[in-house]
Amino acid sequence: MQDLLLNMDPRIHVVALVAYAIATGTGIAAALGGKRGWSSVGLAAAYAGLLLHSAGLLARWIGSGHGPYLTRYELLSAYAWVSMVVWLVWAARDERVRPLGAIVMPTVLILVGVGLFTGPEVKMLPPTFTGVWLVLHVSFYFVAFATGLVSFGASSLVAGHSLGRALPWAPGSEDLDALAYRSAGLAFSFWGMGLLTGAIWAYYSWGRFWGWDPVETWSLITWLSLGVYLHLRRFYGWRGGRAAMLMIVCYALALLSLFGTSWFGPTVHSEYFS
Amino acid sequence: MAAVALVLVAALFLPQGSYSLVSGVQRGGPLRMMLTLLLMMIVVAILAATIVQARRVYRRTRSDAVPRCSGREPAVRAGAARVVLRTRGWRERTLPGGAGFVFSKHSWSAWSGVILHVGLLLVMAGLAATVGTESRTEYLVRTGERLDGSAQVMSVSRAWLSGDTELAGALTLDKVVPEYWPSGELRAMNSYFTDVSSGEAVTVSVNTITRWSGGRLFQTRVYGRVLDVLISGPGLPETRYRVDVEGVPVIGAPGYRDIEIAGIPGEVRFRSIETQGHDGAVPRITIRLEEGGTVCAEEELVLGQPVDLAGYTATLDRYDYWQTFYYTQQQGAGMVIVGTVLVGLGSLAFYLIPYARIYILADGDTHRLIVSASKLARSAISPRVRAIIEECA
Repeated sequence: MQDLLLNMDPRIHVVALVAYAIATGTGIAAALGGKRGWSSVGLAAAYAGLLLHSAGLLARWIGSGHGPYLTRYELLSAYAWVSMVVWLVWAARDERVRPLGAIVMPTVLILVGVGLFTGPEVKMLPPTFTGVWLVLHVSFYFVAFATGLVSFGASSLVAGHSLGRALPWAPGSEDLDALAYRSAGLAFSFWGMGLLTGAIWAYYSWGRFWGWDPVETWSLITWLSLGVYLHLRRFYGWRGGRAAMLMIVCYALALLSLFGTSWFGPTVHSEYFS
Repeated sequence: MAAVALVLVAALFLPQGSYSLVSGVQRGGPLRMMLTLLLMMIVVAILAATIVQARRVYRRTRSDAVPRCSGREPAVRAGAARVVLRTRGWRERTLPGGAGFVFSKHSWSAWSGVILHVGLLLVMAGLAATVGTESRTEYLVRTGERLDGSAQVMSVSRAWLSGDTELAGALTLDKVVPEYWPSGELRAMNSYFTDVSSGEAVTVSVNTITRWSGGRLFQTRVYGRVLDVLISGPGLPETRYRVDVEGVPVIGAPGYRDIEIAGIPGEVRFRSIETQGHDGAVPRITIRLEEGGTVCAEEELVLGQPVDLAGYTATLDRYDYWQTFYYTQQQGAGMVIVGTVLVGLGSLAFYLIPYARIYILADGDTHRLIVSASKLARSAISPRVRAIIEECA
């Protein structure tokens, strides 16, 4: 049964990838056509893709016996899944979030696609991968990535507005700016909690809270940058294009922390997340 | 901001090779010092922010940060708007310097920032305490031997505020049981001890902290096997040699140890490889005599059975695991955990405690109205605001 599920998982991921590709394509076509929002066909394909993606992750979870947080394939898939859930739930509650699919959908497509290329081989769980702190650590980072992606998307559109490249289908600049601020606040909160719960997990696993590991260091730099962004907005009145550019830099740092450092060289994290 | 920029710019001019954010921040390196300095400045900033916010909570006022008018905000008649807002239960405060007025509701929201910053301070203080008070001693213990004050010490590290780390009790290492994945990779390594004074069982698993005797016991590496071998031969009386074969006992991955024995020409090489038996891992140990790169003899050692090695006799008398254990003591871990919980609660409070502010700001000859609310969808309060604007515009 487990082997069957593990065999099915990459195939389900490929089908989900196709659905995401359709959603991305139709969404971009709708955007180029000057239509406001994400087309209903694209949205339906996104929901279908999410359903398949969920099935693939579930099969993986049951088949491997552990959550999707060990190999690069599992991590990229999980980041993509949480991003989709956050975007679709938020878009269902607030229609102004829907056009951010122009940023979220291609990102999800890339994450799942690259994940499939890294190889879906199952890796056994190391002894340290136990306990509630690990689950909290990983979960908080997933949500931080997803909310940060929403903020990055909104900031990109705001930056476009400020550079005189306003997109006809995008919401107003002020709405996007407020959305970027709020989702950056969420990303900051979840990133911070991920950092702190990770430190506690390290304490119980390796006997120390902090080891100046590259991933830890870059993650701290990212968190501080997000904190600087929020404080500049809150206390120094930063808004519009200037704030949007800073948020884009913050998200670039986040990507470097999550994916870049463990790719460049050996870290405590790349020992496992490879 | 200036401090962050200063540190980042200065980091660019550090000599090449003296730091690396790719391979980690080295202890004692310039980047480590700069980051520590930066963190200290951030702690001071957080402390200052906490004091300021606590003062505001005490005085029941909100932040003095006032949004800036862009000129696009709706204009209002300040006098009429103030009356309307006051009658609707909004608390009024006059901004200094004739900048305008701010009306607020839900003053509890000020607590979220205080809780968050107090949490951060606790985390920082806890981390500093754990680093400053940590003492760590690494002991080497063989199966059947005791982990006590007389055990072989491999390394000692003490922070500047730490006390003595002598073991308050004694443990006997009864057995070591490795667990493997089907692929042969080590899944877990459990060391079973008995407390000499109480007789209680104490288990230490690799990378899992065990609390014992006022401190923490943990194991971060598997040292390897240790063999007792009796060797005798022409001109060599029977002598016991203790040979440690280092390495993680992965099934099928051998570990080696070469030793020179006075009286035997050449070099004696021991090889230990773990094989999967019916009831767990079993080591397969071979002994080889080499001289000038040529293998003179090679035999498998079986417990208690003498083997002939080019005229010499070798007997495996005993083999065990040889494990290293850290015993550490430090203060402040609880503070980090409490701080983390407070940061979480403070973050949650930002979103769960509602707040709303309405600014009536002087902009030249007119006053403009700015709404600041805790919800992204300003439409949630816009009907009320619209009503005010209609009444006062």
